[in-house]
Amino acid sequence: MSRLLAAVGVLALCATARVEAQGSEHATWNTIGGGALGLYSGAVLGTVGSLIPCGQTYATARCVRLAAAGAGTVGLVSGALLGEGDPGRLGDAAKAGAIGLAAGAALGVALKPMIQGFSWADVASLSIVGSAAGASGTGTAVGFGVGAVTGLILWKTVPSFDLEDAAGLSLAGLAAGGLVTWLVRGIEAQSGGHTSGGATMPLVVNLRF
Amino acid sequence: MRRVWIGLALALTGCVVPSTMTRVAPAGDSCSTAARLPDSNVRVGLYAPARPGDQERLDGWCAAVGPAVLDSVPDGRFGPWPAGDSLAVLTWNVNGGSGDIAAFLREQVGVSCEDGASVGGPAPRPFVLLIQEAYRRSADVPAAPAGTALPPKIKEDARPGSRIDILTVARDCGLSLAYVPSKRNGPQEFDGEREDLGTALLSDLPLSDVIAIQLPFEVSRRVAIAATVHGPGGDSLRAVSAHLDVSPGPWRLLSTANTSRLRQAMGLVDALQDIEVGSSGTAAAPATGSCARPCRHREAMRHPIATVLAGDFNTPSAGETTLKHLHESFPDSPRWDGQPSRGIFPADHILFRAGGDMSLMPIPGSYRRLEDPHYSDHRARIIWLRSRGGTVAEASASPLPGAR
Repeated sequence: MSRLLAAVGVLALCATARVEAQGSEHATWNTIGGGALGLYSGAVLGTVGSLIPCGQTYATARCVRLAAAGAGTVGLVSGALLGEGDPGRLGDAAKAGAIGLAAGAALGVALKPMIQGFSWADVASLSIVGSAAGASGTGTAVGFGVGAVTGLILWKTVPSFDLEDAAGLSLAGLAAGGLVTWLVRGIEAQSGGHTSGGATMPLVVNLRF
Repeated sequence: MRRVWIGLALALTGCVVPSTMTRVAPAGDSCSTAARLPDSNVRVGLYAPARPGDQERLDGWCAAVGPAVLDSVPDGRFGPWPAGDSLAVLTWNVNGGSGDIAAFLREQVGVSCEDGASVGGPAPRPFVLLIQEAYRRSADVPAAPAGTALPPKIKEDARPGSRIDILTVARDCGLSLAYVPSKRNGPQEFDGEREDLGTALLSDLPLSDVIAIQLPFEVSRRVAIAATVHGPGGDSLRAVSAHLDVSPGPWRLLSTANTSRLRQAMGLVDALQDIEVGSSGTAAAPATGSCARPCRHREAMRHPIATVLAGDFNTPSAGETTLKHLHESFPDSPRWDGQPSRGIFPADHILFRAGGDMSLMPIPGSYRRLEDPHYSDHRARIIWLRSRGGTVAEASASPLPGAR
């Protein structure tokens, strides 16, 4: 239950991502909201993407935890940079996350009567994964597609490559695609290479060496 | 500020997955219907998870199944384990009533279930068949308490001949039987009779020291069954038939890092360890000599009895964590031959560890898949164990009558 509360807490933090930039205080909240959304999305994607590869190691749980922490950190930093540099695009990511949340929930509700023992916690889990994937944009879909195609080719051509390895590669691709999207967003937001819909504003980037 | 963010990330993601496993310990009457024998004062020893949450859920499933069944002595036509002879250990998921067990026994181990005599030629060689998803239809299976959610009936493909439950198979074939149910096979009633599903041991040798081991609860109730057969010269073998869960729902998958099968397997290993300590009075002692790579996490142990653990582990790949850890506990296991046993998946395995006076060991090259699934959705696996005085050549040159 504490984990569920933690997830809800993170989602509540993500809700703060949609804050208009109207001064330094709001800019701070944009940074916090972006970091929270990136952390949430990265950690969930890291968990999903590492489940099968880590399931081939001696220390599955530790391996997944490490992957989730690493991906969450990437998401956190990228999201914070995005929130600081391009609040409009962060808002787009939050909207896409909300759509993913709804899609995951809809899928879970549809599956619930069809699978015995499929609980509301399972529905919530699909929502969480859906929102994390949605918030990370099209990179997840591209990554999943590339991973799936590569996995299937390897499965058909390399005898020691199992179908489970192919499935693992697909999920790892999904996670990698999502993380690359977060990274690109963060870098672009700081370099001014991309702006979302709405009013544009000049960015001042302080670089410290 | 960045350090704070990173710390927050690690704190949040660090509690995604637990690292602790549930210990399985001796249980009293927590699930008496599964531990009591009909028409007998003998009780099957029961081990169950020590964690309260597991037990509550297991009790609900347990209330809907009938009692365990033990018929420990085979027909008089089956003699004792001959000195110098080898023992065949087979494992097979029969998929409820799909698998034609009578035909399997006739073709793989030479036991006829029709006329009470072995199939021509020599008497059947000693064997132990470890079965998963065996079904029993009986009025002993109780009506489920109101509000109990029963699992659906297992899907079976049509096959020639009639479905025969495990009790009838054992009786018709004259074999010893230990059967312990895990769950109901659907909510249906058949003229006051109901069906349950579970694990079983069939043998042409007497069975002793029967123990039921409830595995930690993940998706459904799973109960492994263990029994001992005794060979010539005092060497004994504990055979354990187990069936692990397939995959949990998304919530459990994410929150446990997909370690459901690992948790069940480690619970089983713990229980077997407790049983050895309980029966011998001493803990398994470290063996002399160096520890090879598979036991890098645990010191090699000398066990009081040789043990074979086999069954449907539902592993989608041969490299899964569950198998890696089980191989540590069963370091004398044969290598997987690369042949899947359920569709394209290597679900079924036979693992072994030496024990006692170390006189019982697998015969190299004898571990393999049997090609004919006999209408089940799984193919069986077999391994030959050499008893004291037996030779590799002897066992290899004279396979079981009719074995394919």
